[in-house]
Amino acid sequence: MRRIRYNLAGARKVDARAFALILLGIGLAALLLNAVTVFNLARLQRQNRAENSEIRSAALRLEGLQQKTLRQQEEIVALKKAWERKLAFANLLIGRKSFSFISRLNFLERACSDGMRVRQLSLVNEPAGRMQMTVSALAQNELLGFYKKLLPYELAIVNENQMTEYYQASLSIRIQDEKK
Amino acid sequence: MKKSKLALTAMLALLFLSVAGCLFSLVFGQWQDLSRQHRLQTFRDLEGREKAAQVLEAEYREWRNLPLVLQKFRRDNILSLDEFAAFRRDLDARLAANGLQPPRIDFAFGSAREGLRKVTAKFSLTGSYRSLKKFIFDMEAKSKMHFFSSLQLNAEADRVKGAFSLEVYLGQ
Repeated sequence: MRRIRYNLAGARKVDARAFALILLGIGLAALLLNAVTVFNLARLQRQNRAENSEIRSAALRLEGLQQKTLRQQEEIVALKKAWERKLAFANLLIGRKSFSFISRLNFLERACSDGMRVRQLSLVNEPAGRMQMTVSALAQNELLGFYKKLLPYELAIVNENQMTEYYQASLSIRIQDEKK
Repeated sequence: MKKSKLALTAMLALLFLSVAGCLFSLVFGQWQDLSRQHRLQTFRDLEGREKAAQVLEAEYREWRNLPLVLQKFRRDNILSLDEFAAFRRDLDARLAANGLQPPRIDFAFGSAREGLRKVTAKFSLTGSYRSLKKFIFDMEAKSKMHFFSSLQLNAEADRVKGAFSLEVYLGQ
């Protein structure tokens, strides 16, 4: 005769093995996530600590730098006050010493053609000084050619006279005062 | 059954907390990265300031050395009174070497400025253009602090007449 069995429990019977496996899975997942969290936070903390220490030392360096800069600026102002005039005078002398009359004479020799003659020449050792001269040429086109060569040097023609045998002009130019 | 539900709920809560913690650590890391950018900017500022400080340091050193440099400049280039006598002998020698003979040389002693006294020598010379130019060249080649302040050349037949003004600086 067949025997009939009834389950009278209020809820479904739980398979203990499957349930344990699910719990184990959840537990492992939680463990893994926690490990990632701990690793992340530890890494960030290490980084933070290193950066904070660098920033502290940088801040100290910056502070030292600012103090040094201030002190140096003050000393520079004092030194300038004491030595600037002497320095300016020394530079003025050096500038005048480096003014070359020879380079100006060489320039004039190159600019003059064979039929030309410099009758009078006046030179002054000043940066803004002009080179004044009186020149004569056998032909007018030689004089014009000479003018053309001098045009880049602020040429100023004072006068030009036509004589029986030659043409004469008074003019001035300005050449930069460095050695050539 | 109640116990198993409780255990499941507890484990799910733990999982939820773990997920939240993990997300927090990732978000916190990103936030820290942004903050790091800001701190790096501070470092860049520091580098800029250090470069500016180096420039200032170089300028400062130059100003500190200036008294020595000026002292050396004076020692090397400015004539003393004893050297002035030698300079006059040398001037005569240069003139003679180029076949030039000035009728007279006038020396005018000026007032002192910045510890230096200006002496102006004026003289006129007559000779060939070549010899006058050679004389100017010789005088310009000297390292001591003397130089022509002006010169005027006038052509006369085959000779040139030149009026020279020469400045010499003497140390006190």
